[in-house]
Parts: sequence; structure tokens; C-alpha cells
Amino acid sequence: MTSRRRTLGLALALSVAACETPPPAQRGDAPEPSEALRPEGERGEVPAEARIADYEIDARLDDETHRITGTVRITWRNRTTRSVTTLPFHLYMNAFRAEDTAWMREARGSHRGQRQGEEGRWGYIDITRVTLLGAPQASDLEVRAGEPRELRWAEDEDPSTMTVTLPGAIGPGESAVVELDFVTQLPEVFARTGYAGTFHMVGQWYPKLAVLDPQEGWRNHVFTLQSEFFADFGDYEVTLDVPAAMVVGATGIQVSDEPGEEGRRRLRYRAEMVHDFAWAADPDLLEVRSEWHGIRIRQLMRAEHAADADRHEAALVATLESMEARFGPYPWSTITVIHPPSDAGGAQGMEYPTLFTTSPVIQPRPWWRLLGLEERASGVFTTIHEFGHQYFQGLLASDEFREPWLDEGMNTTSNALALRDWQADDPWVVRLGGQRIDENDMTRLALTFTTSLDPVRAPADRYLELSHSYGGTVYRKTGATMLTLRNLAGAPAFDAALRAYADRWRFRHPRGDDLVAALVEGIGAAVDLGDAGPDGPVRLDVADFLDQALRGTDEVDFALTYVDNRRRIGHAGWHRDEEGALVGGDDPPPEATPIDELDDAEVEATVQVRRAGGLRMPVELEVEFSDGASERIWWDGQERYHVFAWPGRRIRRARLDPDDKLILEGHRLNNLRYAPGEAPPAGDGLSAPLTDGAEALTLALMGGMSL
Amino acid sequence: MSALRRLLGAPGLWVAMALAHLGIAAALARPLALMIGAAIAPYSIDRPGGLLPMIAEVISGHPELGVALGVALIAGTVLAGALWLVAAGGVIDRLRRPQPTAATIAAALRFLPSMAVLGLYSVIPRGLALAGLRFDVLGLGWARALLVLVGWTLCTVALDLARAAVIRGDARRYHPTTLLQGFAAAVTRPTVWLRSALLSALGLALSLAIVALAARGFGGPSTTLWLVRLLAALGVGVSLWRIAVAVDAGER
Ligand SMILES: [Zn+2]
Repeated sequence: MTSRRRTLGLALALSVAACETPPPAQRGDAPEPSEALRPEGERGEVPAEARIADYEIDARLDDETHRITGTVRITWRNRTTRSVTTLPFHLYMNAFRAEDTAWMREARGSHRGQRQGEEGRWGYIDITRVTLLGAPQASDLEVRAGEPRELRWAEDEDPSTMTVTLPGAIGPGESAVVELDFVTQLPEVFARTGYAGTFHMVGQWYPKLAVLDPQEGWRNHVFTLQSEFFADFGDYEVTLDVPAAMVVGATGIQVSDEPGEEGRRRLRYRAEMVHDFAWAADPDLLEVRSEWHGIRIRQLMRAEHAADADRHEAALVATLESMEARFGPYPWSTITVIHPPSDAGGAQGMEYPTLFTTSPVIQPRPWWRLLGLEERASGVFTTIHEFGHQYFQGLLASDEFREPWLDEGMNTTSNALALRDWQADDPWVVRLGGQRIDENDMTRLALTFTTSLDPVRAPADRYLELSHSYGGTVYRKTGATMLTLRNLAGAPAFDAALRAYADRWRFRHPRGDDLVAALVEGIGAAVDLGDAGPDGPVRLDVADFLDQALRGTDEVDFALTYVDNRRRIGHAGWHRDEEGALVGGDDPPPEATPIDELDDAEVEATVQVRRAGGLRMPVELEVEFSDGASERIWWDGQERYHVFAWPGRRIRRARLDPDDKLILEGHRLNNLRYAPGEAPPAGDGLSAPLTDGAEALTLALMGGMSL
Repeated sequence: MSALRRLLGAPGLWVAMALAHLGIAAALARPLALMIGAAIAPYSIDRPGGLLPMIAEVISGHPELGVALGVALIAGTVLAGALWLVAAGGVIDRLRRPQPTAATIAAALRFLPSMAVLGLYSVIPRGLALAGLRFDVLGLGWARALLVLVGWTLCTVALDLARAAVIRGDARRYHPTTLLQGFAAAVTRPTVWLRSALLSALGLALSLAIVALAARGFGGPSTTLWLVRLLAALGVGVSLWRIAVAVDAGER
């Protein structure tokens, strides 16, 4: 707490020093678009059958009690071949209602390092009325008949879901209109949604209808700690009644701003073909507006973060460019970036349709410059990642409870590609003097920790908080798997396959099997990697690789367990001649003859590669011979080890995965080995620089000791 | 005679102290080199773009390397402190006047108990100065750091003056008032304090330069290492200069 207060103090002091006059409330004048979607020629086609659940919401925020009172009217279309007699709803906010909810039991009062508040400890949503307004085409007369009717509803075992009972069935092709009154109490923010002082981040705040799956029926997951959200697409018309001083940022476009009761305003928003609606409100937000190819970009932040608006915008636009080129057009006309204030850390880094929250760029301290330390890992990367979710979840709306890897993991993959597209020359994430760390390094570091406890393909509630395996597995291991496949299959084939997946599943709910099928179809069942000498070509079986990497917990690790020159087997001893008589009887060279003293023709370069990890996949080996020549060969990696020999040649060193393709291999220290007696030019490459560094640090500390 | 002349008039002292520093640091790095070598063997690394990920991997696989690094740093700090303490009597005596090496060593040994006791006394005001870092009333960020630096340099010059007075024979060897007189002398002669403080700051800057140089690298690895050693030797000279300022103030 003290360190945070100190940082805040410093930030205040700096901002006071930097600008005597307060910054203007708005910078840039990009107008609010009149349509929520971009013109069809730019956004591409939106399939009509994807529109399933429309929401009309009228909500009022009491900023003293941090409570929202509202009514939501939902028009739901049954586009399946099933009939339903119930309507299940998510009441996500109830996760924070008590310590024994499914979410809280696992979270134990904290989320990504943020503790539950002591003042506004609990958040909840209370449904006060459910009405069936109509089901005009229903064949079931019980449902169709008559006036609006009050419906029965009950929370399920966990209060994060509830079920509404219909008087009859809603059949295939039919629709129903229901209206719900609700009161939502926001908690002090520690997990995405809630308030901090006057700042309100309002997400997961209204009752949301579950998704009806054509095969499986209603899918209405309980909200658990590592789970995010899942809903159908539809149009949203939302009226927000807020105190007049509030600056509001919301999903979609703002269509009107009218005075309300005394001291209040009524703001109307429209969003089309989205599956959620979130908003933020705070009287102290400054606004930075700009525009990219007809997409209005609006950033809202307090003065403390205003200086970083340009860096966030550059990252956002670069990611937008990269993702449009890779995954198709961004369909909506707006994107809104909320910068939560520093006392609302729990709201940072979360995605909603056409709106996301980012995190601040860590302010460089003077000593950073001294060390040559630079980073793109804090706010800049948050913006890249959260914007990426506009595609991986916003547009490709996978079930985040059942298959969290499909959005977080595929988004992580796209983030690495976006960073490369943006910083083609050098996509570092952290730089320290001449040293650099890139996305691959970050991924590999994560892989060496807790990524072999749970598989990638698992539902969100499988990742227990105590295992610490969620982030490394779902985000990093997925990314490593995809980037490894991309390196092996070649970027064009992989990128085209991913593009086909993105095109096919826009505005739909793709599943893991759909992604795997798209990759196998696009890349081919097997990838020819290269020659393995007498054993023929080595192939990567794409489906088998994905199966092992995504469903299993085995790691990729190859080690050079033997790199040396041995005496080549010759013709010493007795052999039979053509007549059957034993001839020869020569002695081999004496046992003690050093290999150095043998002719090259009498020597055999030998390398043993061991598959130290459980995951079976091919790996490339590069050997460098004493005469300076080198050679590459693939091993299929199916057995636990393999011995390679080059008769008549002398080896200097061997290297595994010389082109650094296996991002899935976290352990890289055992990939380069010199033959004994072939001392590497700069020692082992690590002891000397590390020792020099230690000596320098020691001398620096000793310099202060002349007390 | 100015303080700088006193320093330049004692090149042997400077060289000896500098060599002791470099020797300690190099010796402490040796076991670390052997441990890292053993952890990596029989493999090697050559990686364009930097070693940080490899360092992270080797340390995550061998946490004892992190401990060994910590031990080397702490041992270096403690040994440097001990070296300056043991040498203090000799250093001051040699900066007072030219003398044979044997006399310098004898002065160091003769005055060691007194130097140690005065050093112990100075722990109290230094502790108070450092505690200032935690007092919010002292203001924010830089202002607070500056105040602490002022307090710290005052402690340093006071101890230097007190020790020089003992070696001159002008003060009692073990009595706390000796240190208090050092503080009084420092406060009443602000130019001495200022010169000493500037040299302390220069020493700090050299230490920071060493860290920056090591992090950023300059030329090849061995060029960097020798530049680091050169800066460290300069730092030793700056420390001696600072002590010479106190010696010089007492001789006038
Ligand atoms: Zn994410």
C-alpha cells in the first residue's frame, strides 16, 4: 500500500510539474458514427440467422449507493429445431453475493492479485419481476395467448444462474419477448466490474439469456473463477440515466443525450450484432477521440493517464491493421478504450464488445534510462491483447466457460503476430541494454512453470487457483502450440488456415474441433519437413500434434545426450574369403590411440538425441563438422532417442532446432553441445557474462562502503 | 596542501586499495563461475539478442545460483566495509604525510580499535538518516531522497573528521564526544561538508555508472569488464579524496 501511495504521489507531482493548467476535457473531434456497424462494403456480410437475442435496456445509476435499477426487454428467436419450456439466465453479478458462491469459493476474495474491497464487499443482482410480453408466432397456444403474463423464476443452486418457467413451449423458428426488472448492486471493483470512488465500471450487470445449442439444448454455465462469458449475438438499445456530471463510455454508438430529472442525463446507445454491453462512468474522465478508416476510436482516462493516450492509440491501430489483414474486417464502427484509474486496478484489462479496459503504461523511472530498460509489456501489451479479443471472442464468440483456450489462447497467438506485424524489425517486449526479451521468450518462460498440470483443452472450472496453471496453459501453451505449428507448416499455410477459420465462424460460436478441423484442412493432414536420410522424409502429423499439445500435459523437450567422435568400425579381425577360408587377422589400432591421431576416414561423428519430454514430434538437428561444413537432418521424434552417425567425418558441435521453430520447447539449455576437445570460442556462453555481471555489481556495491 | 594533492601524493595507497577491491570482487566471482559452468555443462549457449531468457532458465532450474549470487554480493559489500575499516587509520595517517609503507600499516593496526568504535557510534545517526526514507512528513519522492542524502553525507564527513582528529592526536580515541565534535566541525565548516558531500555523490555516480555499463555493455565483453574495473578503481580514488578532504581540514 505504501509503495502504491508513493507512486501516486510521484505521479501527481510529475503531472503538476508537467502542466500547470488542467488538460482539456476532450482532444480530437472524430464524430460519433450514425450507424453501429460499418458500411456493408467494408465490414462484409453479417449473417441474418446470427441475430438471436435483442436487448432493450433502460437503467438508472445511483452513484451514491452504486446501484443500478433497470428493466430489460429481450426478444429471443429460437433458431434451433428444439422446443423449449424454460429460459435460463446468467446472473453473473451474483458471483460476488456471498463467500460460498462457486466463484468466491475458488477465488477466496481475490482476483488476479486484487483483493475484495472492505467497504463495498458484496455485489449482486436481484430480479424483481419477469413478464412474458408475447410470443406472436408460437404454435403452443398457452404461450401465444393473451395479455402479458408474470412468469415464475427461481435462482439455481448457484445464484449466478436462474431459470424462468414458460407457460408452454417455444418451438423451432418461433420467438418470445420477455421483460425483467432488476436491481444490480455493484461491488467495490476487484474483479472486472464495480466501482472505485466515483469511477464505475459496469460489466456483467444485467440478466443475460443463455445460449440454446441445436444439439445439446440450453448451455448455461455457472460463473466460476476462471470462466468468462458466453452469449448470442443481437442488437442492443440501451438508455442510461446517470448524474449529469458523468462522462460515459459504452459499447456501440451514442445516439442521443437528453436532460433527465433534475441534475441527471439520459444517454442512449445502440450496438448491433454484439453479445454483451458494458459501460463506464466517472465525472473526471478526459476524452481522446480519433478515427481510423471510419472506425471511431474513443479513449477515456483521468488526467493521471492522459500522457499515454498516444502510445495506446498507436498500439490499438497497429493491432487493428494486423487483425483486419489476418482475420477479416472489423465489423463495428466504434471502439472505446477505458483507462481505469489507479485505484480501480481490478477493472483493468478486460474485453467487451467494441469496448475494452486497458492498464497504464508503467512510467519509466530515471534509472530505467540509465540501464537502457524499455518495455512494451505493461499498458501497450494490454491494449494489444484486449483489442485482440474483439476478434477472439467478440466476433468468434466461443464458449469461454467450456473452451477458454479458444479465445484467450488464440488471442495470445494473434497478439504475438500483431506485435511482429507492428514492430517487424525487432518485436521485443522488454529491452535491457543490449539484451532483449520477445514474446517467444515470455512464452517459453511460462512453459517452464506450471503448464504440465492441466491440458489446454479443458473447461474453465478445471483450472484450480492453487495450481496456478490457468494463465500459462490457456494463454501461453495455446500460443506456443499455434506458433510452433506455424513455424513448421510455414506461415502462408497456417495463416490461410486461420483466416479460413475466422471467415467461416464470424458471428458464430466456433468450437475447438472446428478450429482443429480448419487447421488440418488448411495445412493438410501432414507437413513434409525434410529428409531424414535413409529413413525417408519426416512428416508432421498435424492432427496428432494438436491432439498431444492441446489435450495432453506432456512437454516438448529434446536434449543432445551424446556428441562425440568415435573410431569408425573397420575390417580388423578374421573374415571368410570367397572360398570360405578365414583370412586377415589384422589388429585394430591400439585402444589407447587418441581420436585426434586417427585419419578422418577412420573416424565417425556420432550424435544421440533424446526426447526428454513426453510429447512426440519431429525436431531438426544441425551438425557442424571440423572441416567447417554443416548438415541438417530431421528426426521424427517418435521413439525416446535416436543415434545419428556420419562415418568418415569429424564433428565439432551439434544443435537442435537451429531455426528456433519449437516455441513449445521451454527448456532450451540442452540444445547446443560441443564435442569434447572442441572448446567453444567463448566458453559455455553463459558463465563468463554472468560472472562479469556479478563482478560489476559487486564492485558497484563495494564502491559505497568507504564509510 | 589541497586534498587532491594529498591523494595524488599517495599513489601507492590508491593502487593498493584499488587492487584490494578488484581482487575481492574477482575472487568472489570465481566460485560463481564454477557453479554456473557446472549447471550448464555439458551444454553451451550462443544466442543472438541476449541471454536474459537463458539466465532465467538456468536460474529457475538451479535456484542455488541465485543464492550464490546473493552471497557474492553481500560478501563483497561486507568485505569492502571491513577493508575500509581496517585500513582507516593507515589511510588517514598516509594522507596526512608521506611515510614508509610499514608506518602506514602500523598506524592502521594501532588505530583499528578506535576507528571501529567511532564507526559503531556513527551507525546511530546513519540509521536515523535512513529512517528518514520512511517519514512521510519529509515530503515526497525526490525531495525526501535529497534530504536523506544530505543527512547521510553529514554522517560521513563527521566520521571522517572525527577519525582524522583521533589520528592527529586532537581527540579522545573512544569517547562518543569525538564523533559529536566531528558533527560540530562539519556543521561549522560547510565548505568541507559540501566538498565531502560532492565527492560522496561522485562515488555514488560511479557506482551507478558501473551498473549501467554492465547492463548496456560497451565494446566487447572484456572491454566492458575492464572499463568496469577502471571505474571501480576511480571510485576508490574518489573515496580516498573524500577522506583527504577531512584530513586536510584538520591540518589547517
Ligand atoms: Zn484475454
